[in-house]
Amino acid sequence: MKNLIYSLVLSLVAKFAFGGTPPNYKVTQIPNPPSKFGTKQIDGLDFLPDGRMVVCLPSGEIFFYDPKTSGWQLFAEGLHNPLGVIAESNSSLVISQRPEVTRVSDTDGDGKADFHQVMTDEFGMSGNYHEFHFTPVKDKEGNYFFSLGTGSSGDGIRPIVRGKFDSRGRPGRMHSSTPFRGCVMKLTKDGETIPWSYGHRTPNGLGFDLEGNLFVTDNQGDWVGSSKLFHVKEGRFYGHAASLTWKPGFEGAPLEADPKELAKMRTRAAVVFPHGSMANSPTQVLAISPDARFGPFTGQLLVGEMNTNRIVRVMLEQVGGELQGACVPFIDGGALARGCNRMAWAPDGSLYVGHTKHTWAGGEGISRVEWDGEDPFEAISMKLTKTGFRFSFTKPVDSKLAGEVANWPFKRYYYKYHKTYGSPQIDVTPVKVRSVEVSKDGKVVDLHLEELRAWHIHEVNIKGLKSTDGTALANSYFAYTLNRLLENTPPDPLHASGTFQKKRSSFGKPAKIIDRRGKVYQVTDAKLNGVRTSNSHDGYTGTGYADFDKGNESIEWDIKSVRDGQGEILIRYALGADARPLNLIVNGEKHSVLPFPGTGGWSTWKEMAARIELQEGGNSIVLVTNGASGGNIDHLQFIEPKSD
Amino acid sequence: MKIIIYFFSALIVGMAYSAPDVTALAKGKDLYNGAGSCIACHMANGEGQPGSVPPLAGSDWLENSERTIAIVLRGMAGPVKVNGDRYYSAMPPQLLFDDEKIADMITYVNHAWGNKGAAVTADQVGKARKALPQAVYTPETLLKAFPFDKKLGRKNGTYTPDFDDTLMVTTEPVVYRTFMPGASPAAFAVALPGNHYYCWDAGECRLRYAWTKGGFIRGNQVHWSSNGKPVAKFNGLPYYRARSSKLSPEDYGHLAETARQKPFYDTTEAVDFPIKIEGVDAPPKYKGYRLIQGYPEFIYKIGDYEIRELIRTSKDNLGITRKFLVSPKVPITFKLTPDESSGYSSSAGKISNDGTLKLTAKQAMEFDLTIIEKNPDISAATQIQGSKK
Repeated sequence: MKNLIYSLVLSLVAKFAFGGTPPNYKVTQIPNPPSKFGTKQIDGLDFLPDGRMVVCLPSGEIFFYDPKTSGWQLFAEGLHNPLGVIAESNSSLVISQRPEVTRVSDTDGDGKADFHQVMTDEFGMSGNYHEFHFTPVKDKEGNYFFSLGTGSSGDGIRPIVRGKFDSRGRPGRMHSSTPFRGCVMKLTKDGETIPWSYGHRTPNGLGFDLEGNLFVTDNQGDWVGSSKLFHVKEGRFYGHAASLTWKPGFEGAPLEADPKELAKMRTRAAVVFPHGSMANSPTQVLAISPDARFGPFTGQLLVGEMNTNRIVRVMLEQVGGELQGACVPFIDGGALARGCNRMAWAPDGSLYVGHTKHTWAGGEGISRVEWDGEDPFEAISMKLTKTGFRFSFTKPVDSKLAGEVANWPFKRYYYKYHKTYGSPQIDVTPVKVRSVEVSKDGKVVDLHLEELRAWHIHEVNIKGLKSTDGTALANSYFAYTLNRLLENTPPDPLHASGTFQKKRSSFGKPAKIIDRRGKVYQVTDAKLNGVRTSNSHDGYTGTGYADFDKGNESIEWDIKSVRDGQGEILIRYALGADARPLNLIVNGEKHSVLPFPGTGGWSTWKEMAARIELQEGGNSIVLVTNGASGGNIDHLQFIEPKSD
Repeated sequence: MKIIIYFFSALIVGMAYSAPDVTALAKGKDLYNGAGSCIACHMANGEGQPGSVPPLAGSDWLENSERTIAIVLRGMAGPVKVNGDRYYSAMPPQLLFDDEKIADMITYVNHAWGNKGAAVTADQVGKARKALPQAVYTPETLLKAFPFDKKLGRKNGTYTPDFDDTLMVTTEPVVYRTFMPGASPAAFAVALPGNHYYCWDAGECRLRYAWTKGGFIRGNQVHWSSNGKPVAKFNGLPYYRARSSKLSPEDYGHLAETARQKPFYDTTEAVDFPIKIEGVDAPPKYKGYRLIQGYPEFIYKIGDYEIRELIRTSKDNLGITRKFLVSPKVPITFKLTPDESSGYSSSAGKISNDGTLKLTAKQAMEFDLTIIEKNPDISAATQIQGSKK
């Protein structure tokens, strides 16, 4: 889920139409649940042991669907943006919703949930909209995993946040100012909540392969050059900096670290989905289980795609001790809606897909994908060899077409690792195929490339390949994330770039003594409404300064004048941005809008003067925001009216 | 959802302007503010209540006296558009008043607050009483009989209600978890039968505030169907607000904000948890809720002690009653925060002047705290800015 220019996506998708759903797969629609809000977005989907389907809606409604009767039944409501569900029994669900992992059960057998039990809420919420809480999954031992999205600079945070606020994680395009945002979390079967891995941005989708390896996807954005699939291991860091705030042993603020140092810490993706051609916002990971009736791909992974109407197939292999591999479109276009967010296997082995969008490019409703029992003509695997790649196909290939090197236009490139949003493809280089070998049975094709380069994505869009019976290859576009070679892998070149803030002490230095013409009233002497005091920039007087934020904030000084008459106030301030005017209110009446031009830096202090009418005794001087934020205000200096 | 009747009052209009009789006006005003109870819903200024009670001041609906008489005599229930704004409520038929009183009320409304409609006579009302069908009008049936002309019809008439509108009147508890102003992001919004509403904060295990006027949260589908940014809105002002030393009164103007750099505070810094048990320093821990006849019973723990809290409308419907169960048995001290807009009473023990309630172990096993709205006609002292629609 992320911001994208829709038309751009559409044009890219149109440009990269490499195939489509194989003819042996049929996509149909399931009627929508009767939401009282009319919502058709499906944010969670699973099957109960009794064969019914459960879905979660953004409205917090949970419905059961009986495929036999096509009937819907409301099970629970009032949840907060549930984004994933595990049906543990016919009457008990485990649900990821914004504030918690919750067990929602029907304990009195009336078919409706009556008990919402917290399984864990031991993570923070800043109240930022982008802090999604994605998909619970459960391993064979009974441990749960869930993932926590980071906050977005598309908005700030709320006045009251849950969990420990840490300002180190607050800056940045995507932020993590409360615990474990940007982490994959483990809830052990004994009830302990542990941050399991770090460095995730929008980890909208966890899943296991058949061996029990845990995977998570991430969406293109800051620190994520193109969308990715990671093999999750305990304690590892996967690249997005913000969550380092919570990583034991990491010191300082994430954005003050050198990106090269972060790149050394990070674990590379098992699969990178090239943006604009493979997937733009990958979602859930679902292994093709032995119980699935879905063709000859058992053990491979399906990954949903939010932006386009596509489900991607992932083929992994272990190289140099880590998983890496290829992705290829699979169920693609046609009747499939966009926003393929959640997937589950029905008891009959067909695939059910819940579609959603949440204002991003996506879709609505529920699709069902059935296989007709005939093998499609597809690649069953793409494997790295010492000299290139080996493709295995479901059917014998036309050896003449397959043997033509020009039909295998490989290229390679990489994505940058930096804090800016996304990355272009860097160092895009065509890679020549030296020779092609087709096996005797025609099902295996070995491609010998002129060069294989580690830490680069190698992609190919096979031209015009047909099977011996004349069937066109259903999907021909493959991208292999080549991190490690079979032997002699060079060190990771990191591909990191970008500037970083130098570390500085968290407390600024106060100013040396300044000349004073009148009495100084510090902001700490004033009544502060919404404004917080700070001392992180240098050059203030007293113990700190007032830091205006957005919203309706003000500082009120009560100053004593010895007589009636015209006096002067000098307001000392710093402003490392463009002008931020504030309203000046004197004794309850609006005096003027003080322009407060930028001072050239947050540690550069200047004075803004105003002449005001005063009365003998107490006078109220208020600086209040003028619809936007203000500068940092150090103090007010008051020069008394002159005696006549 | 069944519609509970609002005690509304009269409108009016005229075909020809006739100078109102001063006595009729005075009598009409007395009825409006007194026996007619019009004021309770349409308010002294005739402006009604946003979303629920249409205004009388400046209402286009007053252009036709016959229509007004029909509404007053027979009542009308359903979604109406008045001067471009939507209202979802019900006006009951006025069965207690004779023709003259109804004529006086309508005449008053027709001339109050700058309205310039016609005076209405008892004769007009009497004729209508005989002629009109014996049924409460819906906006459709009323407008079929008394249509607007094209020009006024653009801003007046009926509309298809959405879920928000149906929530204006609640007959069974409604529980939503969503972003609420003035609470941590882990908040509940609950509507109770009798139209009391409250916000309970799972982030700090406490009731945050309660309100009754103006209906339940509105527009929250936007929160659900969009990217989750919007904080819920409601039209009323809380009559009860739990005080906390972490929030100054000035802070309440900011509690619906979403665009802050830093928070006022985080829940690990929360203080003033109202229930104290000697020797237990642990912060409260939210455990979940059970639905009991549709009402959420919140479950939370401090140390090894479990507290259950179930909130219902109070018996007299003037406020809310919080039922607490504490186990295992232990004496507790409950720190209440009374203010000008609400009063507290307890089923056990005595509340001291500073709001302290000490309960013995036996008393604490099960007790009720009732919060009653004080001075319901006066705007509550508590206000959460930004929550108004």
